[in-house]
Amino acid sequence: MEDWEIVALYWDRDQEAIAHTQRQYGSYLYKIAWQVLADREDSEESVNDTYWRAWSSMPPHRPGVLRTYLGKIARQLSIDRLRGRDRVKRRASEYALSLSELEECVSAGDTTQEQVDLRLLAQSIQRFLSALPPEARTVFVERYYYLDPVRDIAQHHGFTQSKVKSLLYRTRQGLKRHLEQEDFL
Amino acid sequence: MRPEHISDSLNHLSDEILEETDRVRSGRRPKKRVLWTAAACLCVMIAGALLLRPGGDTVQPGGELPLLEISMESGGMGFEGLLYYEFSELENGNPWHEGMELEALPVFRNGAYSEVGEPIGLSAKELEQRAESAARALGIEDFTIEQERGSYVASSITRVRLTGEGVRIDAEADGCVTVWFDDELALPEEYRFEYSDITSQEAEAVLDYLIGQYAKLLNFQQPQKAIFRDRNIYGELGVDYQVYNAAGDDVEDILNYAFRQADFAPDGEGKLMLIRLYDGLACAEQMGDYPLISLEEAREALLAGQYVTTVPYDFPGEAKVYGGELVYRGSAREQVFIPYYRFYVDLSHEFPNWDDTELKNFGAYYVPAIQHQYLKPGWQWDGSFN
Repeated sequence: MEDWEIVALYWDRDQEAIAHTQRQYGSYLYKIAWQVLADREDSEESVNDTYWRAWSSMPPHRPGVLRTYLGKIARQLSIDRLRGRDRVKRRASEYALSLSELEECVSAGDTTQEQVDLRLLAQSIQRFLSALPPEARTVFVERYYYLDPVRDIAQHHGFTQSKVKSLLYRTRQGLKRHLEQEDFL
Repeated sequence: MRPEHISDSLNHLSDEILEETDRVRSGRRPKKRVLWTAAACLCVMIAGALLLRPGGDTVQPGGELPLLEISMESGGMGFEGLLYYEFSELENGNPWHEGMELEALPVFRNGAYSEVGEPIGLSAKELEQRAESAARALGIEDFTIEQERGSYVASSITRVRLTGEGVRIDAEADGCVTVWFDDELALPEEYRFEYSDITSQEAEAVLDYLIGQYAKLLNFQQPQKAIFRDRNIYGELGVDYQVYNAAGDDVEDILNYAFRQADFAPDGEGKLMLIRLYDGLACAEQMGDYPLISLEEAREALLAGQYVTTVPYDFPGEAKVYGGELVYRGSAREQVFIPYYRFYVDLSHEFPNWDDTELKNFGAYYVPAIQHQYLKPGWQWDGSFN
């Protein structure tokens, strides 16, 4: 079934929309949740929450590419769920590893709790990413948005793992310089 | 700021960036780098592209050729351009030169992609034939073949994959064939094969070697090297190793350069990782031969504001214009392939805060090379319309 047909089911309030979403995107969403949570039960709950959020948001939304739309929902819900866990349940996941890598992009010793406007920050990061060579851009997004492990990224591109790590390192350094120039740091 | 802020903000990235990455993750072929000016550019890889929709209804001056419509989509991902310390550093192996006596060039309708950019042109049988032909050229006899369907057009076979004897060959429905080596192949010690930090002489030498080694696979009667070089934001001079068949007349050479190149890619450690064979006209239908304007006429048109570009800044004037060459634009989203004169404009004044103030930023501007009475009115476009 095409995306627009599934979206039409949501708009018609036809519950078949959920079934089709599950069939077409269930595995994809589960993987996103898993990369954050590294826990089967939590990941399944996160995916179910994604379906509910999709049902609540269409209408009024009418996304062109459902995969991307649902992926954003699943990712954010999973991160929110992770933060709600108590420390005992938090396990090393690709999300936790990615945060430790992104430490390089913020100033050392910065412990300010001030609010950051995420949309402004996103616009700035988008400008930075747009200026990169496509390989550097997609590798960065794979690692820090999709939370893919380095070995999977290497496989997607036909690169060695060391090349992926070098690309990520240089991109993080570039991002830090960019954020400094734009007064985010 | 904390790392969580960066991670959370990525949820607000544009869909175009996410979809570009998702295509790579899903194994769908990324866009051909050379047609979007290289992997190492501040302004590379526009998410949208120049779309041409053939007008079929309006009578045109010649009475036979359809009027062409140009429109531009942009995903706000930046603009097309190149980085150099001096424009004279540009190398791309374009066979076109002003001395060619060309009065007309063909325009093609592109049938290779679905509306969502998925390759759909060739049949499963044709894909298998292409994959098997490549395997035979490499001396591979023991292999298996599997077919892959599209994510969006599930009824179509978008790729055939052949695996065997340490090699994987992907034949895609847009005509592209990629040969991957399971264990990247080491070259003889005397050859350096790198993405950057390599002289033009070294690059030519290794490309000559590879052309010889894979002559059967390329099947070019007269292989012509077309090494492309440009700089990245760190000032490093990169290289793309490209070759096309120059056995035809001037028109064939231009088309082969634009649509039927072969690329050799290193793995970052001096070994051969893959060979990619493009055939961008495999699913194209010729619409006709359109009469051309001269380079000088194109330059006048450029200065008069008659151009298309993804550059979002004011045109800075004649003194900043460099180059002028005839090219075809053949990216995935183009519905029609037409020739253009491409000029580069120095936009460095728009980036005063660059770390490397000597590195210049050249934006690409295109003037249709066909006579403009064959274009529907209102075709001019620049990136400020994003």
